[in-house]
Amino acid sequence: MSFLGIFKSSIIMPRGVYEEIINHARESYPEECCGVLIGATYKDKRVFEVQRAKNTNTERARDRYIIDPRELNFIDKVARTQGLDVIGFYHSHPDHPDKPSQTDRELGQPGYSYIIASVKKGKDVSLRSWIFEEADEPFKEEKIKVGNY
Amino acid sequence: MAIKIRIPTPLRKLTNGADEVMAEGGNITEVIEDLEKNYPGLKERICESDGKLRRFVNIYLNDEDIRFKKNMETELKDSDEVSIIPAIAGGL
Repeated sequence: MSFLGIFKSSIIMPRGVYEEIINHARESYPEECCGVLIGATYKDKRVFEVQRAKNTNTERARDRYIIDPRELNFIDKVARTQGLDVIGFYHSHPDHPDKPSQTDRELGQPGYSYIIASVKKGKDVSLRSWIFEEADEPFKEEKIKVGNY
Repeated sequence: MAIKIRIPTPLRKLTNGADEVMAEGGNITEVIEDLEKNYPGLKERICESDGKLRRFVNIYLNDEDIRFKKNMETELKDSDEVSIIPAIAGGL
């Protein structure tokens, strides 16, 4: 929870997880990739691993993504056996900014972290994380912290 | 009949943070009615006003989408696990 909206909340992940999202975004270019953030929330939100998901929106894979709910149900069940939880998702924006689009906001779900990877010309990738808590709130940025634990 | 219900993050504010709750009922509709008694507001997040499943919500009985079974009338038995799975999508 941010203090008076001044400080960003944060999401922490190991270097390998951060690089896996970047690699997936590059490999999928010029189409959008998507995946699931698996972790836990203690004082901070921590990602322990990511699972790549298939983008099932094959007709508009360059500008839309859909995660198959069957795949998500399976990933959630496996996470639970490890004492972990689905805490959010990632997807890429080929040649577009790492900010949520209107489509992202309209289809977004409260409480999940949404990491967006901007991929420029299939090479340069930047990541930012976003979240909203209530249905009528806009996305707010979460600070991504990369470190081992 | 007690059924275990998996609650996704977006609905946990309505279950006091619980990621799993128990509910009574012989089919999906009955279970959701029972959930609503204990966790007011949950039903309208899952169902349209006519009781049908919302478009951006999926319900899985064990590993099967209830839309491919008997939908809201899908019958349940004691060891069943019901998961509420939000639709995850977006794009440019």
